[in-house]
Amino acid sequence: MTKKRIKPRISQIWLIPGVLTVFLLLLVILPLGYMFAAMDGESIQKVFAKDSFGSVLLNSVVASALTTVISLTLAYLLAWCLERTAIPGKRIFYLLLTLPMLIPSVSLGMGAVLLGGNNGILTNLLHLPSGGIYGLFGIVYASVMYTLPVAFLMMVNIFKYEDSSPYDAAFVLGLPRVRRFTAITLPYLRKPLIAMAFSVFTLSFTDYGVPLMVGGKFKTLPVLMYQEVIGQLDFGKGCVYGSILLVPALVAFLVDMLNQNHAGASFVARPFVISPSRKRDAIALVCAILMTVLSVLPILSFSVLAFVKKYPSDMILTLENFTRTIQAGAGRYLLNSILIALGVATIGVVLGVFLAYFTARHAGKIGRVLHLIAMSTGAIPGVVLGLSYVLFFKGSPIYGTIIILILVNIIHFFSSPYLMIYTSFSKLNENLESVASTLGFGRRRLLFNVFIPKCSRTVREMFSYFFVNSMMTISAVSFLANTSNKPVALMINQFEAQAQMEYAAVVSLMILTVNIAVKAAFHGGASKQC
Amino acid sequence: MSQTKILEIVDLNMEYEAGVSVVKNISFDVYEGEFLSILGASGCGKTTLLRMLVGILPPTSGRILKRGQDILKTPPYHRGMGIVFQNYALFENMTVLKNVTYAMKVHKIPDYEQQAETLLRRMGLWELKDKKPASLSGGQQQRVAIARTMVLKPDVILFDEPLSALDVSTRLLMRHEIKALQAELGVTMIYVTHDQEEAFAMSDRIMVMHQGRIEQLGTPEELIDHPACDYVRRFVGENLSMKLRDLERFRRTDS
Repeated sequence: MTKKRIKPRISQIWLIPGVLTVFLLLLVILPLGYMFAAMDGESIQKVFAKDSFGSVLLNSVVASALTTVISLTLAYLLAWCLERTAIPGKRIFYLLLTLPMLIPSVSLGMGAVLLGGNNGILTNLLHLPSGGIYGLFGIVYASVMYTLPVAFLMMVNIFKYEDSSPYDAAFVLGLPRVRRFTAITLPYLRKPLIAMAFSVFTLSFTDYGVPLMVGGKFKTLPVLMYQEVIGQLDFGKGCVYGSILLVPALVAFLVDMLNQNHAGASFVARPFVISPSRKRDAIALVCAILMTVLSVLPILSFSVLAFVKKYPSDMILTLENFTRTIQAGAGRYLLNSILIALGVATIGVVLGVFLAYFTARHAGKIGRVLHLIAMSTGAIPGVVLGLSYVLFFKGSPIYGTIIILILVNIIHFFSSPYLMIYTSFSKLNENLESVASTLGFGRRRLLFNVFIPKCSRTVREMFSYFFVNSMMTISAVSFLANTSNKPVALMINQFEAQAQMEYAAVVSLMILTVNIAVKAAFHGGASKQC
Repeated sequence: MSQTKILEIVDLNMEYEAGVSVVKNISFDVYEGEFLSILGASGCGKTTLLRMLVGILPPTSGRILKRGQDILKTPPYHRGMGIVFQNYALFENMTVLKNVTYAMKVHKIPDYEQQAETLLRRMGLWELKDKKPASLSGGQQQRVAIARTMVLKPDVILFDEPLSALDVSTRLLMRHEIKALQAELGVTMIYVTHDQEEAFAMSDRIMVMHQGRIEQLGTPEELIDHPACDYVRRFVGENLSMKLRDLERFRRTDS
C-alpha cells in the first residue's frame, strides 16, 4: 500500500528568522568577510617583517597574561570574602566592585595616570618615583581594574552554585583545609576557570583604552592597529592586526561553548551554611575593603580632578571644568551618546527578543546556526568590528551617520543580552506554544502577552546592558565616528592628548552619572520574574 | 458512552527520522462521551499520538476524522479539542482568572466573565481567582489548567499524564474530579498514562500501546480476562486479583 506523506505546514514564523538571517548576514558575516578579503599578501609581509611586531605581540601577551592571573586571583579572593564569610555590608561591596563596569576602560587608564603618573595623587602623597606608572605596570593595574568586575561576577556565580556536600563529607573525614582545596575546590573550578581565564585574557588583549592612556612606550597590538588605521590610514595592515586580535577571542569563544555543554552536569543545589568565625570574617573584611579601595581609586581620582581648578597647583573646588567641557562640545556629544545608546538598547532588545524567541523555542538547523552566529558576535573585538565596518560600509548612505554607530554597537554588545533572554525563554514551560495553538491564539500574542511580561526583568537588564556599554565604548566607534556623530566617550582621549585631564575627568564623570541613573532606573523595580 | 463515533483514526504513522516510526500505522475509533485511556510504558508513542490528534504535531501519514470530516489540515483550535499537560503550562504572569479568560477574550466570546466564574466556582477555584500560578499547589495548578481548557467547551479533551507530578492523595482526588466533570458535561476524554491503576480506575476503554503499535483495545474487564498477547498480560495482568478488587472499589466510589 502506498502511503500519502503529509507535508508540514510552513508557518508565518519563518518570516522572522528570514529577516534576522539577513540582518546578521549584513552586519556580521559580510563586513568580517570583507575585512578578510581586503587582507593582501604585501600587508601581511609588512606586518610580520616589522622589527617591532614581535615585541609588540609579546607586550600584549605578557600584559594580558599578568592581568589574567592577578584578576582571577583577586576575583577568587573577593568572591570568597562575599560568598563564604559573614562580613557586613555585602551589598555595598557588590555595588562598589561593579562600579568600574560603568565607565570606559580609557577612564580607568586615566585614573591610573592620575594616581601614579607624573604629579599623580599617590606619587605626590607617597613620594613615589614619577613616571613609574607608564608601561607594563600601569597597563596591568588599570587592566586588572577593568577586568576585575567581570571576573568577580563570574566567580560569584560559580561560588553560588557550588555544592557544599563534598566539603561536609571532607570535614567529617577529617581532611585538612589544603587537601579540601586541592581535592574539591580546584577540580570544581577547573573548567569555569579556564573559560574565565580566556575571557579575561581576551578582554585585556583586545582593549586599547588602557594601553593608550597608560602604556607610554610599551605598545600593544590594539594600539598599534589603532595607530596604523586612524593615524596612517593603512587599512591593509589594520586588517592583519585585526585578524591576529581575533585569534584569542575565537579560542575563548570555542572554550566557552565547549564548557557550556558540561555546565548542566555539575548543577547542584545544596547551598553553603556560613559557620560563625570572627577571625575569618575580620580577615575577609580587611581584604574586601583593601581590594574595593584599589578598585574604586581610579574613579575617585578623576571624580576629585573634575571638581578642582587645576591639579595639583590649584586645588580650589569649582564647577568651572564642567562649564568649559560643555563649551568644548561635550553637551552635544553627550546627547549623541545618549541617542546612540537609546537606539542600540531599543533595537538591540527588539532584535534579541525576537531572535531568542526563535532560537530558544524552535529547534532546527536554522535556529542552531542563528544561535551560533549570535553567540559568536561576542568574540569579535570592537576594534576589529569597527575596521570591518569602515571597509564594508564606506560610501554607503549610513556611513558617517549615527545609524552606523548604532548598528556596530548592537553587534558589538549583542551576545550577552541575547544569552540572557535566550536562557530566560528556554526555561519557560516547553508546552506553552502547544497550549496557545489549542486555545486558538498565535505565537505573536504568546510572545507579547506571556513571554515578555514573564521575562520583563531580563528585558530591562538587556536594555540597561546595551545602554551602559554603548555609553562607554570607544573601540568600534573610534573607527567610524566623525565630528557630527561622535559619542562623548571619544572626547576622553582627545582631552588627554591635549593634556586637559580635568575635562577628560568631567567627561568620564558624565558617563558614569548617566550610567548609574540608567542602572538605577532599570533595576529599581526588580520583581520575582525570570 | 454512546455508540456514535466522534473520532476515527486511520493508519496514522509518525516518523521523526526517515524509516524510524514512533507511531506505526495505528487505527482506532473513539466514541462520543467516552473516557479512553492510552496506556503504555515510556517511549511507546502514546504522547506522540496525543500530539497528532490535537494537531500540534503533523503525522507522517494517515487520516484523522472527526464526526466524519478529515481534520488533518485543521488548525488545533478549530479541531474542537483541548489538551492538559503534566506540567500545567500555565501563563505564569497572569492570575488564575486571566489564565482562564485570556483565550475567551482573544476569541471575543460574549459573556465570557460570567462563564468563567461559573466554571471556576464549579471547580472550587473562584477563591483563588486573583492568585498567580506560582502561589498555588500542584493540584490547584492542574485544576486551573483543566478549567482553562474546559472553558472553551471542546468536544474532546486530551490529557497527557496530567497527574504524574502530584502526590498520591491529590492524585486520587483529581481522578474523581476529572471523572465527575466528564460525567457532568458528557465530554469525550482521551487520557494518556503509564499508570495502570489510574487507567483501570477511570476508563471506559483502555488502549495498550507498545513500541508504537496498539497491542490491545478493550474494556478494563476485557484486558484482564482476555489479554491479547504476552505483553498485555505482563503489563496489565500482574496482580490480577488486586486490579479486579481496585476496579470494583473505584467503580463503587465513582457511582
